Amino acid sequence: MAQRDELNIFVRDALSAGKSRSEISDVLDRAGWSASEVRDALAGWADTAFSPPVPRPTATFSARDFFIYALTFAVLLLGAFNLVLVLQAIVDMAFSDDSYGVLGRIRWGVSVLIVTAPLYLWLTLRERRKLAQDPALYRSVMRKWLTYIALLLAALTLLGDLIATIYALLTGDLTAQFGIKALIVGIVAGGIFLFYLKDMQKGDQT
Amino acid sequence: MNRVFLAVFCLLVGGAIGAGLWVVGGPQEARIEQQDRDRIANLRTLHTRLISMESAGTPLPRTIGEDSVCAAWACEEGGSFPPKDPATGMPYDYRRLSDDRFEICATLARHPGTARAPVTLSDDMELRAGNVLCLIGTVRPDGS
Repeated sequence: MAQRDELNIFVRDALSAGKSRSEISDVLDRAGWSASEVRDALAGWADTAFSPPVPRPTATFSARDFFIYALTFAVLLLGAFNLVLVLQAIVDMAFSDDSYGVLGRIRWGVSVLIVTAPLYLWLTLRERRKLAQDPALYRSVMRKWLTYIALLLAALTLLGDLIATIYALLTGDLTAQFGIKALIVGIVAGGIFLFYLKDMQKGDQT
Repeated sequence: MNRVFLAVFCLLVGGAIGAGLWVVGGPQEARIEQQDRDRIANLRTLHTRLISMESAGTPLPRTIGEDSVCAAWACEEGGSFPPKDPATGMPYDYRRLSDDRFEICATLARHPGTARAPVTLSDDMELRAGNVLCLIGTVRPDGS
């Protein structure tokens, strides 16, 4: 990290001294810096003739971001899990006679959804309004990290769902009940994946 | 595009909550269902106590309110034993059929077969008219 700071200071000083980007790149290359390190260091400064060099915006981190995005992420995780729980329990009730435990699962899941769904919706819409007003918030480190974690978990769930479905097919256990339950997992995880993928792409364009 | 996702999310969650509540019924339904579960569990408890009483050498009582029964069961004044009907607070309907046979009955609020959470009846249970569920106990000659 200290080395990166040294590199950034060097690049700033070199640009201030009027050196061209190719000259700086060559000298750093000869000094042993990798191409990606040199590219990242130069990308930190706007490519203008203005002196002193103009820094490009960097990722931000704040306690507020941590609170908002961690809460949104936790609510999403809890809500998505219980949405699947409720929908799968309803499917179980349609196929199975022994439904006492299933009723308990539905009651618990509905209780969680009644709390988490409006909270998630409120947090997301509120954040969307803030992002529209101030696109700088797209650079939040917490936002990026938690969005990518949500994408990772959704992708892993989709993969696990697909593997379980194929395994059930190969073992002859792929019943209509299993198929519908797997489809529910796929729809919820796929929906979350696409939602956050679009969100990330929008953030990258900003 | 994300507005479409959010709209679908609202529909899905709203649908799940609505369907969930429709399937499980309201709080009153849950209470009734739990009371029926408690009744069946209470019948089982009483059945076990009566069988163990007989195996300990005490003959089956005429009623489960007798002092001798209470002494044997160590029941407390206003206590939770012997269990009573959770809704009415009345004792369960006990009948001594013979020296080694008895039945103990409870009136369920819902038919066990058509309740939201159907109850599977065991071999020693008998469902009679009016949702009266009886648990029939037979003390084996060896006392087991």
